[in-house]
Order: sequence, then structure tokens, then C-alpha cells
Amino acid sequence: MSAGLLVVGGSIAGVRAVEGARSTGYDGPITLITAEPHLPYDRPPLSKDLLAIDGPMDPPSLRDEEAWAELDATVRTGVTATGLDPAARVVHTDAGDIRYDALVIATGGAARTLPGAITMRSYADAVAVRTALDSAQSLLVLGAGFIGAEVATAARTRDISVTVVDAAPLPLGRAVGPVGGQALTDVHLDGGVDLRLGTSVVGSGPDGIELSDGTVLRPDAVVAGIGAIPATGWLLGSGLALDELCGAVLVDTTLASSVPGVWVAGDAAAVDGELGQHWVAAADQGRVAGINAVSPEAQQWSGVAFAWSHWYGHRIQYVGECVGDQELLIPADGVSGLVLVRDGEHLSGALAIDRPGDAAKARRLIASGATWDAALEAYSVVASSAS
Amino acid sequence: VSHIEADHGLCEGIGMCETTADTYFQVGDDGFVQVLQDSPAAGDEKLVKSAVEACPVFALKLLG
Repeated sequence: MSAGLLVVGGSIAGVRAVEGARSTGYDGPITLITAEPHLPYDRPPLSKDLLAIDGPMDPPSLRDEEAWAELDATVRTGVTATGLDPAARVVHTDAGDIRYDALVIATGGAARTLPGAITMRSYADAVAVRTALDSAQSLLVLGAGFIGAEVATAARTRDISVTVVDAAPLPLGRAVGPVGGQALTDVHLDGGVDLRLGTSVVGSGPDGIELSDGTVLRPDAVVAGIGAIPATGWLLGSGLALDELCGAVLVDTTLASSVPGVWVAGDAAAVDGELGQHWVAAADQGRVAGINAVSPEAQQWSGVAFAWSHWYGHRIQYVGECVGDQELLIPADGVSGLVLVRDGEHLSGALAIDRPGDAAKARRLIASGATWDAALEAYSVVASSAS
Repeated sequence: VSHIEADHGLCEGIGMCETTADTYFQVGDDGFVQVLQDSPAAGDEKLVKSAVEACPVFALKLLG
């Protein structure tokens, strides 16, 4: 009997890998293993809906038992991959060895952490953060990016006093330019948090937590939203080529790794050296990896980045690449507005605050390879004011 | 015959549905999905189902 397709990892990339493989007509066995005790669930709601006072309490399952039966896939929860032998086509786990013909790795990332801080990545994390918010009157959030802002938003809804600290001079410093970063700073300030940029934690003890600006805080809870690192430690020594700095598995645009029979999707992958690190990329990479793992005709992955969030009641949408040669702010009411980003001759990205229509338009323009001038025209911006 | 339903209270205009099945879904200039055909045509059921399941915020439903 053939060993079939094995998918390691129970988040969106893993689920989409199973669905992608089945979409080709592949009818061999499929097994998905996940280290967590739950059926594969969705992560975006964890830091949004699940933190609300009257929000849902259960893990936001991606597919129910019936859907898994329909996919004819075996899901094994509570099974952790511990090693890979690609020559023998075997994954070692804490529940014994599992053979495969084709393997899709979708183990995602692990939240970076600091001593004394709660992280926000898994369902268990969300429960811990919500429990902390239920009794806290003051909160320290480390990191002014998406996760930090979403936790701060949930806390402000409960009238908790919030300090947000970020070592960078602007929020999302690696993902947006200075104009976009300033726009997001304004959203934070409008949300009523004590925002301290360019500031870090320098010590903590019985007297409290000391910041680099000299302030000592005694918050009821501390949550860290300071990024994630690819969860690929179990692949060390397997022969798979990993990124030297972050540890992500190096794959090409077909999501194939450096060894035969192994594809990688989502936050564990670096596609042509680039990390995706958002839901849309993970989902689409999962689908393509699943297809390529069982089908002789390799599909290429290419996608326009898209991330969405709600910060203090404002809708934030991030499209494409928002670090470029030039940024143009088109202001709207209050802290709302649109930041367009130029890379060379083209529109490369857009950051939209309460401008969902403009974000949708940007996604289409970027996907169609629109020039900067064409983009300005599409937004009715007079070119001379944009130089 | 099943019926496609979109919830604009949940829609984020992400466009995964449009990417999957652009003859059925388009994100309009208001940022919300427009359903172009109310029901999947014969043979399109799987395509529409996968577009509905592609939505990250569960704003689409296939009823009946």
C-alpha cells in the first residue's frame, strides 16, 4: 500500500494543502498531523473575535469532522513531528514514525517571547490573553504591529489602560515606510493608548518593568506581539536547506524544497528568500504545495500580499509591498486615508485605513502590473502634486 | 439549487473569492464582494464551493 501524502501542521497552509491535493483528483491516502489537541483552526480570529468580552470561546475550526471525511483525509491531533529522514521518506514523531510518498511541511512559526510576557499565536495563547484581560486594569503591550494593536484594541474596549512599547521608531517598521508608519502611529494615538516608540524593556523586578526611557511600569499583564520565528527546529540535520538567519526552509516558486518529495508552505517557508508571514500567502502556498506534491505538472506560486486588521475601530488593510521608493498619502477624515507606494515605475503597495474600496482597487492595480502614473490616475491624483 | 450569500458585515474585501472564481465574485469599488450570479451553474458547484471556503473571514455561504 502506498504511504501517500503526509501534511505536517494544522493551520491554514496545511488544510489548503490537503484540499489542493484532492482538487487534482489524487485519490491516495492523505494524513495530516498537528501538534495541538484541536482540529485545524484559523488564527486571525484568535487576536480579534476571541479576545472580545462576549466573543466565542471555542477554537475557530477551519473544517468540521464531516468536511474531513468528505476530503477522505486522516487528521491526527496531538502528534508532534520531531525529525525528518528524506532519503527513507519518514517523518519521526512523538507517536512513532510515519512514512510518506510526498510531504508538505506547514509547521508555521513560533511567537518570539520575553520573560513574563504572554504570547499571542495559538488558541491556548488567546485563552491566556483573554483571561488576563478579564481581570486586568492595566496592560503593557510589547510591539506596535498587528498583534500588539489587536490586543491593545481588545483591552481598550474593556477600558483597560494600555501602554504600547516598540523598539522601532514607527509601527511595522520593516513592512511599511515612514509615511505609512506615521499614519499607523496616528491610529494608535487616536485609540487612546500610551504609545512609546523607540523604547524597549531594559529590566524587570519586584518594583516593576523598567523601560529605556526611564519609566517604571507595574502593569497587571504583559503581552508580547514581537513577531514569530519559523518552527523548523525539527528539521535541523535533515538535509533540508534552511535560511541561515531565520531558519525558514528555502523553497522555489513551486514550493519545492532542496530535497525530492518535500514541499513547504506558509510561515515555515522562504519562497525565493522571502517570508510570507500572512494568512493569504499561507493559504495560497498551501494549496499550490498540495497540488505539486501529488501532481506531475508543477504550478508556480505568486501572490499579492494582503493583510487586514481592526485597530481601535479602524479598518487596516495592507496590500502588496509597502516599502518602496516613494510614498504618497491621500488623507481622508481623521486618521483615515490611503498610502500608495511606488517601486521603480510601478505601484507596489498600498496601506488603507478605513478605505476598503481603495484597497480593493490597489489589489487589482498591483496584480495587473499597473504603472505609478496609471495608479495615480485611477485614484484621481494630479501627478504634479505627487512628485 | 444552492444559493450564494455574502455578508457585508464580515467582508474585508480580501478578494480570495474573486481569485478563485471571478465569474461569480468581484470586490467592488466600495470594498465589498459583489455576487455576480446567485447560484452555481451546472458543473460549477465545486468551483463555487472552493471560492466560498477560500474566504478567510467566513463572509460567504452556500445555502441549500
